[in-house]
Amino acid sequence: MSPTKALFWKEWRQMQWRWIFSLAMCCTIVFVGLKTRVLPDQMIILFSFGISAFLIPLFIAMGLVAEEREQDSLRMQLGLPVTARQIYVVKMAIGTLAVAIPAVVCSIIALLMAGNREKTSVDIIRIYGFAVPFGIVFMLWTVVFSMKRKTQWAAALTGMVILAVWVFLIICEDVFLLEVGEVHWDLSLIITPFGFLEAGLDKGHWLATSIVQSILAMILFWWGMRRFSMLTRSGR
Amino acid sequence: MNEYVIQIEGLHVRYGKYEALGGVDLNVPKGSIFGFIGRNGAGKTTTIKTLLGLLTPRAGSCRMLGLDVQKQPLEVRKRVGYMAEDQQMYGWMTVDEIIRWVGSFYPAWDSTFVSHLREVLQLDLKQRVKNLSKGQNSKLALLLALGHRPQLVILDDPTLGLDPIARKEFLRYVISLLQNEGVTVFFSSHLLYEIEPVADYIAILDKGRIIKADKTIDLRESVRKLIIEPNNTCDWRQIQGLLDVAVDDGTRHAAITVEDCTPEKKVNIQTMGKLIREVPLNLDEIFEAYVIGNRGERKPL
Repeated sequence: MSPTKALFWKEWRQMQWRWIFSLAMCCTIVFVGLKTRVLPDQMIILFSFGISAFLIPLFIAMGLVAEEREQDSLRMQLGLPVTARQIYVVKMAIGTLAVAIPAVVCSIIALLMAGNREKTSVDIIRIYGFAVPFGIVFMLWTVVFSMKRKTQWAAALTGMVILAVWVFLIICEDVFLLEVGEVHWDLSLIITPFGFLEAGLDKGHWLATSIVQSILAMILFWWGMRRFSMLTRSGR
Repeated sequence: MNEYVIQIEGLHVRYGKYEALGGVDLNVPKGSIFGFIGRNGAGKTTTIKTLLGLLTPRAGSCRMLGLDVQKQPLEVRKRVGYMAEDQQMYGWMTVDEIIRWVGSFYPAWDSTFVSHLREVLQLDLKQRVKNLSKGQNSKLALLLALGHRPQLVILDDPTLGLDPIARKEFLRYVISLLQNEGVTVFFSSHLLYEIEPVADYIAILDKGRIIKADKTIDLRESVRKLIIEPNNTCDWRQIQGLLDVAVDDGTRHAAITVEDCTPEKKVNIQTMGKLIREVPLNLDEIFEAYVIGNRGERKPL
């Protein structure tokens, strides 16, 4: 096994229970909900979408760095001939997969069980499709800003504060309205990943959100890598 | 061929405003067992982390096995075996998994040697790391540090948390194993009785500075406690290399500890009082004299 493979293997195994639990929870809700039809399909899909976009990224982010800081196991890994950057990149890659997998599997189940039933298949794909980039961005923000937190709960709290700030920006919608010609652009939906969730937005708006969020994510990823390297070299 | 496997020059490390190391200079000869001693918080672990490239120094340089630690930290870590103090490993892995996982980072990993070592250390491959006892945990950490047959092994307080018997057994095993392999051992501890019987060289670190580094045998020979009956006019501060003075107010005898206790120095001391007897010191007492010696202030025996 090469060092990179070994890093992937370790992260995957370490996160295994988290993503299996997330996957099981999300899929059970979709399967049971759509099978029994206790609620309209729309409600079941939105509920599982909320879990995929908000809860799972938070849960995964708690396990990426904070768990290791809590258990003080990072020291061992850093003593091996591997750089902090390699560790960080692998952690984020596994985190991304762990966030994306439940949403993708849920969308497949929903399509098979309720495609074109109450909602069109395209709508179902779109909803879960929005959950993936939102979840990844949310996980990234939580990991980067909770890097110095020494417990998983402190990391979760950081994630919730981030979410609260985004929601606050959305509530202050009027402040961020921009008129370009005849089009009204809501900047709060561009600078926060909530823009991914706005199915009613025009294509230009959605594209702007994607571009701004991609750039922000890249800056955040790079900054996170620096923070992680500095954190591990600070000895604290 | 360089005769020193570790060369540290003017090493300064800071944690924010706190200066953890304030100019450490140290050379570790090849093939030696080098005891690195100091109180808790003296800077031992900081020195070791800097040696492994895990901390960035503010100033100074470190070379290990001829490599610049700051420029080639990965190469250094590939060639050095490191056992961290109170090492926390991944509890969810089995012994077999952690051995294979760590082995994959080292091109020179010797599986045959590791299997042999595992049998000797009586580690069960199927057991989860979280279920290992403290002693077994230390043994596993040692195995992982030695699996790639390093030329230099750094043990940072390796027996921390072990009971006295387990500590003795562990050390006996480590030293006999490593001496047979001709490996240089850099061994940090604050438990002096651990280091005294095994170390060829000793360095004493206090408040981020090396206050003494010498061969163990020379250190024992050169530091002496002299019991004297002092004159009324004596001034302890005139004694060169004075480490500690303790005066018994009842007998009026003074116990003075001096380094580099040459016959000339003894003659000089005898001008300050009558020499009653000379007492050799063990490493524990020498360390105490260097680190908390009062350098001439009177205190009761």
